[in-house]
Amino acid sequence: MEAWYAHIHGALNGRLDAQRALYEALAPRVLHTCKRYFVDEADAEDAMIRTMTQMFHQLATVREPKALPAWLRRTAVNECLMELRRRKAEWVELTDFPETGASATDALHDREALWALLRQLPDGYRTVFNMYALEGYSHADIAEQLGISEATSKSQLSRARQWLQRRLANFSLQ
Amino acid sequence: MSPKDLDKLFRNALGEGQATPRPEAWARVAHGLPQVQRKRRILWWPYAAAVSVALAAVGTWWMTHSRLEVAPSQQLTASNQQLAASNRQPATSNQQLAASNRQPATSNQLPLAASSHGSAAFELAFLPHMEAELGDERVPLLERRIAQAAVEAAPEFALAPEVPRRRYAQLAASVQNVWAAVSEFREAEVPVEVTVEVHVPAVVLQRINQTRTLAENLTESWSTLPSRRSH
Repeated sequence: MEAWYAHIHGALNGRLDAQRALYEALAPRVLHTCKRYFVDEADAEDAMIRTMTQMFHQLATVREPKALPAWLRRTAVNECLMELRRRKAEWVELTDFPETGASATDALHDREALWALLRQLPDGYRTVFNMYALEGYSHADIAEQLGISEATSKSQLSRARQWLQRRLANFSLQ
Repeated sequence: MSPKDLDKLFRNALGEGQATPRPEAWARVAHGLPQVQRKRRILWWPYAAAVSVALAAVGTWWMTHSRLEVAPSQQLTASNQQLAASNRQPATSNQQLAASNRQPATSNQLPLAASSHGSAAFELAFLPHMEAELGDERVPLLERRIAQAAVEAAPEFALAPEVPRRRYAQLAASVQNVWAAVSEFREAEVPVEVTVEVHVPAVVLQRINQTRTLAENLTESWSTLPSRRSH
């Protein structure tokens, strides 16, 4: 039982204060999810806003408040993927990685460093890595969602991992 | 670092987390909020109330009628005969009036006489003259109208139905009781305002008004009649 459960009823009845409270409670999680998929924070914010708007429109169909965070996460990922598809993000395998220097930091486990690394990944790699490693999608799901083959999904994931490992190794060497 | 460890590293660091949105973001969400349409419940009880009231009114009306038609008491039949007699009496007197061309002021005394030997006379002006319907069918319609017009021409004698139906008798009796009570209060000079509400079924009220307008029309036509005749 989380505190924001209490606001669902009011939000359903169109009460602005309840909607605001629900937004304040849930939007940060959504924004966090969206931020992983985009380099630009404004893109993440757009995706978050679309997700939250969709949530308010479909709030009546959510049976249990408990299920709402998972629903939000799924919807957020879908919104991000839609935006990436709209931009025709290329899922082709890149042989050359952009060798932009990773923001050097001593703390390997620093979240900011990992954020930076994730942002430096090409869109296709980042998307597949996000979906597989962080959201827990299977390769079959990823292939279906992105309209690519499972093999492509697998190879993109392994390349993303390679790239990240190389970077992390650089960090640890430094 | 194995791929699994790598995934775990990222998942632990970035999997769950919160990122505070810019304050401006809420305005955009609020802009797209759904317009809540309150469900229009179909309220059934006004319809139920209307139907029950209508049924009650129709039922009362029907019962008062059918009771008279199905089980007319001896008293009622007797009184009906009296009514017929009393109806005929002013009618004949009016024929005399028409023949002799006397002033209507004298002929107005005839209903008073009729009332004196009527079984039940009420001085309540608002009671409807519904009993004209029950009059003897042998009395021609025109004569009956003339009789009623003669009654109506003298409002100071405004005779209530001389033989009201039982329902009206009850109503009139209760009104009289109330009136007597009120006047007793007045005589005792009790400084109390007395408000009397008489609840009459809507259908009955409608019938009263109909009868009243009918009577007024008849009075008008009657009052114009002698002037034409005098020319």
